Amino acid sequence: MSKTILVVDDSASVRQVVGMALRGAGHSVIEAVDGRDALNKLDGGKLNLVVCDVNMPNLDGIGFVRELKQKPAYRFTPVLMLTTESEEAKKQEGKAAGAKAWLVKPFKPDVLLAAVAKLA
Amino acid sequence: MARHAKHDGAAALPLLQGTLARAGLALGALLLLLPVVAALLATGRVLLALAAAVPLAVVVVGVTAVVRRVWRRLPGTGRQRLSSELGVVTAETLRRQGLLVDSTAELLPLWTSVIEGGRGSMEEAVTSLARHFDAMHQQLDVALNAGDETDMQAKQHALQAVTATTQQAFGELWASLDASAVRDAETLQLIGDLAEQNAALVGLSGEIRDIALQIKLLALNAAIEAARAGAAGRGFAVVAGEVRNLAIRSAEAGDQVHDTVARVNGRIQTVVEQVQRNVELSRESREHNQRTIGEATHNVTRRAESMAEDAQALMRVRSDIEAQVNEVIVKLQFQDHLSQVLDHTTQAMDDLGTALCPTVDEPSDALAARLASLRERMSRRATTDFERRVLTTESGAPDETQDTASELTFF
Repeated sequence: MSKTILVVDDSASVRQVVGMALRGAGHSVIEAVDGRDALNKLDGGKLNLVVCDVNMPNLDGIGFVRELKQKPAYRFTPVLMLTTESEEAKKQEGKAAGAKAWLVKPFKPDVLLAAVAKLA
Repeated sequence: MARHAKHDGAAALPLLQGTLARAGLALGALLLLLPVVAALLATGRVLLALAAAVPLAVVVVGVTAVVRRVWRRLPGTGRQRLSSELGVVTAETLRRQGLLVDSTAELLPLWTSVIEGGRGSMEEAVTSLARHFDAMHQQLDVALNAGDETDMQAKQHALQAVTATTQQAFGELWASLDASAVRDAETLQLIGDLAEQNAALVGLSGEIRDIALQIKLLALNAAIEAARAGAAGRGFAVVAGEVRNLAIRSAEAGDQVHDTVARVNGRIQTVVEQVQRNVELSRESREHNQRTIGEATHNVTRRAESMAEDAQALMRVRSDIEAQVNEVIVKLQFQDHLSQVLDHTTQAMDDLGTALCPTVDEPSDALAARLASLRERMSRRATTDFERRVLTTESGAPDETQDTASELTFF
């Protein structure tokens, strides 16, 4: 079943390949270049999942998730962190901010889609 | 300049010694970075190696700049004393160092621009590549008539159902033709029976004629006997005449029956021949139809099997393409990794440049502490397995870094 997924990453190529994997599985994708851009793109519409990088300019992924969880419309929207970071401390930071899962780049599409299926 | 004037020859030596101590620290940092550059070169990451080489240049610039600055601040007598006591730093060496400093200082921003430009171009190219690849993938999907595997299986089942229905319809038609052959045989048998019965009628009509002839002879004998009896046989003669007339009429009726039966028999024979021809034609037509049905059924079955094989081959091709697309998706993410590594290297260059521009009065310990913190900062900034692996290996510590690619954790 098609889901609407917000992809937040400052790397255009990562947004492209994530979009390719998600669209290939029949999902709709909204792209944002960083946390601030992602907040600006939240219009109250239904989001089934957020896939978010950690290290980004303007507003990083952890900060974005914290702000996202403050919004009533998106309090329960699941967030998957997609990042090169694999340190346990960083993961705990993401978990504390409200993320539901953590996937380390480079990701395999089937692993990403399995996570999407479980979260969205 | 007033501060410079306070230096004399006696004070110059410790100053230069301090400078050399700083240069030693800088060279220490240089030696720390050299293995990193070597590791990057060994892995074939030329752009990264270029990025890592820049800090080396900064080291050279820093060392030579400090030496040059101190050298210029020394009074003439101090320079002479130093030249004579140390005998190491010659005017020619300093001139060359100055040239190196100037050219390196000129090249440094160029290198930074090259790295930044290369990073931007790489990101643009990889993004464009990913976009084109995405479009190509979508077109392939269309070309392969990609639904999911369930769709493909549903189509195969539908095809098998159509084939089964066709075979059933052909089977019923075949049975109908067989029934028609049986009916033709029965009809032929009935007509044959009719012809036989008719032939029996011909024989019966001949017997009637024979009986009439015998009655006619009997009537003639009776007339002769009546004539011989004279007047007494006159009445008998009349009866004999009537019997003779009846015999003649019976013979005529028998002839008519014979003729009629013969004509009917001729017609029946014609009908039999016609029916036999029709039955023969029907048999040929039936055999032709059965051959056609057999071939059609065989063709449909073969085509259905062929289509099923094609569908399976298509699914295999599609599966192979999906695997390759997934592999490309993984490989295309190298740009993000490289971009982060370059960013961290640029930041490390900035740190090093700052660390290597101390004030003359800065204690060597403080400089040593700042240089020592450079590696720690690099480690803190590291966000990729590659950086962590290089930093861990080159520090001499056991490599405990793991390949965390695609590692998924649910909270």
